[in-house]
Amino acid sequence: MDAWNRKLHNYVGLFLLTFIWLFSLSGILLNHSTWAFAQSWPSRVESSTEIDIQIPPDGTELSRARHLMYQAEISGEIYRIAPHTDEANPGIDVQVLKPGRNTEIKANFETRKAVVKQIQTNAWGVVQWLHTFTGVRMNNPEMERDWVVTRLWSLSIDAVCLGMIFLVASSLYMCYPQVRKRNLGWGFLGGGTVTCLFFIYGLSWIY
Amino acid sequence: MGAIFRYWTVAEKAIDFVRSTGEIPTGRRMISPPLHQRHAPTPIVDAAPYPDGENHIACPGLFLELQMNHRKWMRDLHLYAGLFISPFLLIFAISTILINHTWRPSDAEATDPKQTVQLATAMPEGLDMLEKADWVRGAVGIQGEVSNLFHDGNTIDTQIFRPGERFAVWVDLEAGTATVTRSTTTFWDRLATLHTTPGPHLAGFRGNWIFTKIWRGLVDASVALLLFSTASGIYLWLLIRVQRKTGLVVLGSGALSFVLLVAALTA
Repeated sequence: MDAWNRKLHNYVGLFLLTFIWLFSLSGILLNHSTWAFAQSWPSRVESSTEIDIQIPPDGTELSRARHLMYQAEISGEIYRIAPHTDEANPGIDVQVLKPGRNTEIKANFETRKAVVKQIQTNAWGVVQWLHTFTGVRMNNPEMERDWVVTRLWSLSIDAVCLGMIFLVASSLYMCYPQVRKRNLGWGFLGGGTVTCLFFIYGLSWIY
Repeated sequence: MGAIFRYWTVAEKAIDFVRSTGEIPTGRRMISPPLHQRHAPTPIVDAAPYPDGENHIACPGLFLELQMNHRKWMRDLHLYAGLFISPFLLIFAISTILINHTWRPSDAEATDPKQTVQLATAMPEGLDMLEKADWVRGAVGIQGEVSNLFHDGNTIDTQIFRPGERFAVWVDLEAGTATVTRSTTTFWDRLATLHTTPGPHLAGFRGNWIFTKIWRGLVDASVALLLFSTASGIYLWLLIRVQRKTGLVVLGSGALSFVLLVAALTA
């Protein structure tokens, strides 16, 4: 059991290594978004093109949006679909996101043309987007993932989290039998735990 | 402390030996007979007196001992760093799963009735956003992170939060009162709040509460220790010869899956 636990600890850690590095680095960048070198918005590249389109067949908003994306050769996670409410200007607006790229398709069914605007950020922007790109929003529970790659990425995020929980558990299992290191180990673990509990409960208890 | 003392004692002896003799101790001292007399395996003599006459018992295997101490230190640091950051990792891992699936979104567990409070002080003129945030905290007597602040004429609309509680505050500067609505949130929301605080939005404004700044520093330290743990983990893994091949395959698989996913996302 001990040998297996140690092996799994090593191999799980190795498999998740690149993911851990990404989320660690991107987390620091998100926590310090005033750092000049990591500013992605000022160096964004914006482009706009007009394309001819065919009116998407009748169906759900999602299917029509996907049809437009296919015509515009755009892939990504659909963030917003807004059908035009003005009858004189029939059409649909679709906003598509992927890490580092924000695309907006404004389709006019009357003129059968669509304006495709894209905003592309630099590599720092991509890194920060990868950290938060889940396809859902905490303040919009009805939003669903509609891109298969987003689902895969979301699954990988879950796998990383479960892997981290396993790594913590296996490290505790490995530390416990080591009598000489147990006291100091409990000290470090206790320090971290008390610190976290202070922020989870202590602040609201004090104030 | 004993281990530290012993480590330095060994290192000091090595330095002294090199300075005094000009030789670099290579561990065991070999006595080689002339070529025409070499019929038997060369005898290896441990603890033979060195040219300076001193018995460098500590020197034979000196660098092996240093290497073993180094491994021991790295293993211990990996363990203790990992144990300290374990609660932080659990907070971020669990909250990530919640955020990833919008489980336990920011619903209020309970909302108290609105209360009207008298402002403790009048707002001075010419305050910037951060100073207004500080003033609001003091004036309404609520400590927490000010998430946003809208000042329109004689009114200020703001929200103050800390893990587990949210306050919607509407300040009437003319009347000198504030209407406060307090909401308590779930345990899961406390974790999600800690994960997303201070966050990337309103970069120059967020982190306006001292405890938010401290949390940010702790998170940075945790990340640094996590990166150290990964580096030390790689070092410790490389020492285990039997796991190197399998480990390389696993490492390569993880890296490949990462690259393929990122390529698919950004293509």
